[in-house]
Amino acid sequence: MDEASTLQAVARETASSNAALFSFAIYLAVVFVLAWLSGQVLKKRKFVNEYFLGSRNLGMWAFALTFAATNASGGSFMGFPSLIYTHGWVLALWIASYMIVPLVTMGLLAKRLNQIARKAKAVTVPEVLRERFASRSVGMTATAVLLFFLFFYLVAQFKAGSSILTILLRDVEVYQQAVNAMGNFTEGIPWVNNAAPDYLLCLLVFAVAVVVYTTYGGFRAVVWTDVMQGLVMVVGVIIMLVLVLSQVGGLGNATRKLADMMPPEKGEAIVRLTAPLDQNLEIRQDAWLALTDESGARNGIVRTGEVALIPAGKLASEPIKILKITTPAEIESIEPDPLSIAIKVEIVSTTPYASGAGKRGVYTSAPGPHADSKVGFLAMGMAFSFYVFWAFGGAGQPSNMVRQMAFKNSATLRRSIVTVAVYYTIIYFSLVVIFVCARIFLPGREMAPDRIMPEMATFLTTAAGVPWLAGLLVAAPFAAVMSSVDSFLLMLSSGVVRDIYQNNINPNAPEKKIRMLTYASTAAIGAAATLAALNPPEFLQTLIVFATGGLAVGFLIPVALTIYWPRMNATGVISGMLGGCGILLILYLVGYKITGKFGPYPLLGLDSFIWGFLGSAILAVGGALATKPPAESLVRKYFRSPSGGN
Amino acid sequence: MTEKKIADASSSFDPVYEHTRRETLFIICAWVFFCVWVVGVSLATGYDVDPDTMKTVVGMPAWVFWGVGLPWLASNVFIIWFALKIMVDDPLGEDEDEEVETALASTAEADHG
Repeated sequence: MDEASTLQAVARETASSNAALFSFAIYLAVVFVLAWLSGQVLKKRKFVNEYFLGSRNLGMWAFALTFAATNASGGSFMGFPSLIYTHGWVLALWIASYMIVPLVTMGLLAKRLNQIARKAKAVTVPEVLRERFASRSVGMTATAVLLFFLFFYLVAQFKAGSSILTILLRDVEVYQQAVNAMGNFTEGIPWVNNAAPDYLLCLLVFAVAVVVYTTYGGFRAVVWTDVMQGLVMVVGVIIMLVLVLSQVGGLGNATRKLADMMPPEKGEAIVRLTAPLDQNLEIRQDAWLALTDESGARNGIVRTGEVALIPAGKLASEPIKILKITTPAEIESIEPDPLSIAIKVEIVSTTPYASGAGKRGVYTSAPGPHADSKVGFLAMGMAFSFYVFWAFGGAGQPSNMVRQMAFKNSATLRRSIVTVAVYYTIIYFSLVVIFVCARIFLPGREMAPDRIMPEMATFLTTAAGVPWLAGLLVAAPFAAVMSSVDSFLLMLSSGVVRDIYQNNINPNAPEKKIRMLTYASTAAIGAAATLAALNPPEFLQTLIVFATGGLAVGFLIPVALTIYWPRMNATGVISGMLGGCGILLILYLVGYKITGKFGPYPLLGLDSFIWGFLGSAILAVGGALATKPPAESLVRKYFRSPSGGN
Repeated sequence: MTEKKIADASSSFDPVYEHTRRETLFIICAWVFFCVWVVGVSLATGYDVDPDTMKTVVGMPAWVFWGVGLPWLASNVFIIWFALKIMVDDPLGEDEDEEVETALASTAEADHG
């Protein structure tokens, strides 16, 4: 269609400043400098211990911030804000377990795991298990479970990272030119051309950056970049909190306005002209259009979810997606976008929320409104499940366990627990406050709520007269997703090199060979994840939850019993690990069978994690008690006082 | 190893193991306490709150303050007290590179000395 023959009924949104691009470029430059510095340290140390574990020498800030940043993935800065925006204050309850997460995830296992890893001279979690029971099968089972779930996780995070970049850079002109060039370049390449060019460009930039700095700098680069990323996140959140509270007129004011809000309705509408034109008429996406009655008086307002096009000579557009506002105060206060020509919007259909439709107060109380679920966002059973999940799910993540093997001494651990507790309080509680207020500043974003973080950053900084600051704020999601991806990438390569090759195939491999194999495997895993993320399955977000749950139920109980129960043995570990994962898998299969969607069946209203966790505990203890106790030499090595008897 | 021998070994357990076992008990109790507080208060007062009678405390709905905000602050106080006063500084053992670094540092000192 010829651009010149199309009239814009609503002025196009002006491109935002290049703040996002500049902040991304500066951010990447700092990341590469840190990776280079880590590479210099690596040359002076024993390779495997330094590359995979930073020579077990992490101080307080490094340990605390790498722990905090790795746990705060892209979801914390894109998904979580969008959930707060969509469901309101109930998200405070959903995330409440983070008040105790630092204590449970770091205090439960860390000191003892660190000690055992040192005794076993282990640098990976499967290696700890293998050495503790002197059992190759335990090591291989743990490696298999780890690699299986981590690869899903890595692919999902690659997709998340690329999606975040596409959202953040979408208004940057240079980026748009690069996207067009990418589209032209990949047009004729089969399979690759299935991916949208903007997604593909961001995926390549993201993947190359993260693979290069992780491969070159190893664990220390990952930790140093995590520290930088952790600081970016907390500074960004504090600035946003100050801006939002100063602009909203006090939190009480915001909560009262929120209490009057009712969920919008999603639907379809036709845009109609009074007389046909001799050129096309286009109404952009995200435009506010007034609804009018017979007399032309305004009686409602909708936001367009896609572009509406009325071809030349025609009177109406095809039906387009719209969001209809239902809160009376918002209908009055939202100003429709000025139109260059008179049009009328005719609603074709609307669907009210399954829970909370037409009700005031749903954004200020539990369970919170939900478009599809009749029980609302957070039913009572799920509130309890999430309180369990965040704390114990986090404690069971091997990425956290690896960090717990890397801190320098007990004092570092104690101070880090305090630091992370304060850090999470600032980050998570502030995010809830910021994004419940976002509903007041930026209504009608329910059709693309994932964009709320960058939109809010731009809105707040522009309103405060400091638009350049948006760059720092939008760097936080980059930082969050990258700090998680690099850790998982390194864990996968350590699984291949240390747990499979060095421990099972060639224990006497020279350091030079290990070094080359490590570089090659990190790069190869990064490339494989990039290829898998090119055309990822639709249910990828559920896969993230599945992988997190699988790792937690697979590792938490077996590892906890490994370090705290002298009677634990190899059979207990293997049965707990496979049993927990098996139960989780069965509940996902039942869920798929019942709903037709990839998701767990909430048996008795509880999350699948709880059942996997219980099953893992019963099978691990039962498996250990039903078989022979461990060798005395192993119990003595890992449980007896160095100066004790024997 | 027999059950009896494992039980006998308990008389000379590693102090780090004994300390961490005690600390784990503290942590589990703290988790249960805050879980009961948060989930209990929120379930009792936070569901289907009438917007016309809803109260706010420090700008947030009262149930969020009593059920999430206050326990969050209390948990921070508990964590600071526990981590700084109750957790024990245990020696965790030497690492290979530490041994190498210590040896290198001694050699360097001797060279400069």
